[in-house]
Amino acid sequence: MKRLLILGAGTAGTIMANRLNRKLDRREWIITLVDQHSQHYYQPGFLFIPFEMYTVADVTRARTDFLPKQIEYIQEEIELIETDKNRVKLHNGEILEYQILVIATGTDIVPAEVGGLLDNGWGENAFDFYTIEGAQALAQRLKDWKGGKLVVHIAEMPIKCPVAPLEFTFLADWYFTRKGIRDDVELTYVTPLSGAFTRPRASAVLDHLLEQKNVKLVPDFNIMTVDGTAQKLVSYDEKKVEYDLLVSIPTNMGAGVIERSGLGDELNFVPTQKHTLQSKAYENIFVLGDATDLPSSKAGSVAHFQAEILTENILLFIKNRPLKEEFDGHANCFIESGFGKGFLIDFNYDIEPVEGKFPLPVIGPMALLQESRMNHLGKLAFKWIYWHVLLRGLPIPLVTAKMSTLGKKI
Amino acid sequence: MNSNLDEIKKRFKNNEDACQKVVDIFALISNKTRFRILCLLTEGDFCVGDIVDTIQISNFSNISQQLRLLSMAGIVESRRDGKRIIYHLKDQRVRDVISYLHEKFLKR
Ligand SMILES: Cc1cc2nc3c(=O)[nH]c(=O)nc-3n(C[C@H](O)[C@H](O)[C@H](O)COP(=O)(O)OP(=O)(O)OC[C@H]3O[C@@H](n4cnc5c(N)ncnc54)[C@H](O)[C@@H]3O)c2cc1C
Repeated sequence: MKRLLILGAGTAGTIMANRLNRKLDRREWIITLVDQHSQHYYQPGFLFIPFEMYTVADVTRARTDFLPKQIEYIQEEIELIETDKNRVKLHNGEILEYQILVIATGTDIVPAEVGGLLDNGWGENAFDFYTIEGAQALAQRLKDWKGGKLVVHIAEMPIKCPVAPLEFTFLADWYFTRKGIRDDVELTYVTPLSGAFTRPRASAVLDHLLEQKNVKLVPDFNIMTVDGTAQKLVSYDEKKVEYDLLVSIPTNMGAGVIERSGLGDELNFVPTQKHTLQSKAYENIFVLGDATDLPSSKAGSVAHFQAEILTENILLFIKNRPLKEEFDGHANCFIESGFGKGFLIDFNYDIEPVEGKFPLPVIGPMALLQESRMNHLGKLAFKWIYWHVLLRGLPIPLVTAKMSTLGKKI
Repeated sequence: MNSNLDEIKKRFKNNEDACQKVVDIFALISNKTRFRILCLLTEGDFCVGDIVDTIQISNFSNISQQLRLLSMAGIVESRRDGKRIIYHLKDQRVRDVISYLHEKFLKR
């Protein structure tokens, strides 16, 4: 038997396992999936935990709930990928040989990469919400916070779900308004980008929204150090931003095993062919999800689109046929904007977020780049879709991997 | 009055952007860690581990963060060599500035 080995059973790895399970000839292939943790977290839900909209139970399930019996699932830390021997070493010493390797080890925040962040006040007046622990600790802190300067800070790009920090800021505006202390809170959004978002067109809309919500935007801020004693951020060119409460999105990096195996770039992301999702260095290695170095957004929706194309490409690879160059960077994200409203943006490598309707061109129901209640409901419905449709590798009705331009103002 | 003042004024009006670029480069250089990284890179290409060992700042991660900043600014570039990532000082103008400063201030 031959083995197709998937590293990481997060969003991308789970979708791939489900899709390949249906497509690969199982008389010939074993599909093995490895992850270090037994729990699967719905990470988009972390955003709502600090505001007590979701609990930990809402966002947690057992990984195996989403895996068919025919998949061999191993719960263990991956120690090393030995590309020269086509094998992977696990922490318990077990060796897994593979014919095809799919890397889906994701990305995580690394607070130690931001100078000074861990030195003073981490967990007291400086928090993250990109981890379950961080989101819970922040919820505790916000509960009895009386107001002051709240700074939301992105240390470096790329980060996963690049809209999540903005959504956090919008929800904070709503949360403090509801608590009756909005006038006592100075909200500031600090980013290394030149505006609120990675793409200029969406950025213009979102910059304006920040202004409307009385959030100060500090763009082009490249962090040098977090001075926890004086409670301020200092940029490389000596700009300073003071805080009472810091919500940090620290540097995001690919998994340590990628670095140990000599497979990543400076941030441990794996160099990947933009349209085929094959690794740049090895023919029989494919990469998807947050682990790639691609300029597409690091988002669950992107992993879903990639999985559709990668499944086909793996089947072509097995048949020794040329791969399809079809992944176009398609991403769509709901942006929660507070007070029961939201935005939806849809874009790819070449086309910026545009106005129009999604998923049915012209008809909708969800307005792109326009604030609406429907988009907020869409965001909440995403959790159901995530558990029941997306992770199982089933197609999301009416949504295609390649971006549709019909009905959109390009 | 300097008879060239009008012409100088015109020139100054036009070179605001260029000046901003130069000031940005100074801002990138005018930090002890980054300055020392750049000085080291004028002597050859090195990996993060070697840079940390040579510059001897206890905070390892701070140096990689600064290297990424310099790399984003296009001053240094990185490449993979086996299991290590090697940094190279790419911007010849910055190399010249560092060499000049080295010549004037650091040479005994
Ligand atoms: C706050 C927040 C909000 C978000 N909001 C949205 C949103 O609204 N919409 C959206 O589409 N996306 C959103 N995302 C992003 C989305 O969650 C990720 O893009 C998605 O989970 C990526 O999937 P992945 O499989 O690549 O990585 P992950 O799901 O992170 O999975 C990687 C897996 O690899 C495993 N792994 C890594 N290294 C090892 C090792 N050495 N040994 C064993 N196992 C290992 C990990 O345990 C993990 O399970 C959000 C993320 C966050 C943090």
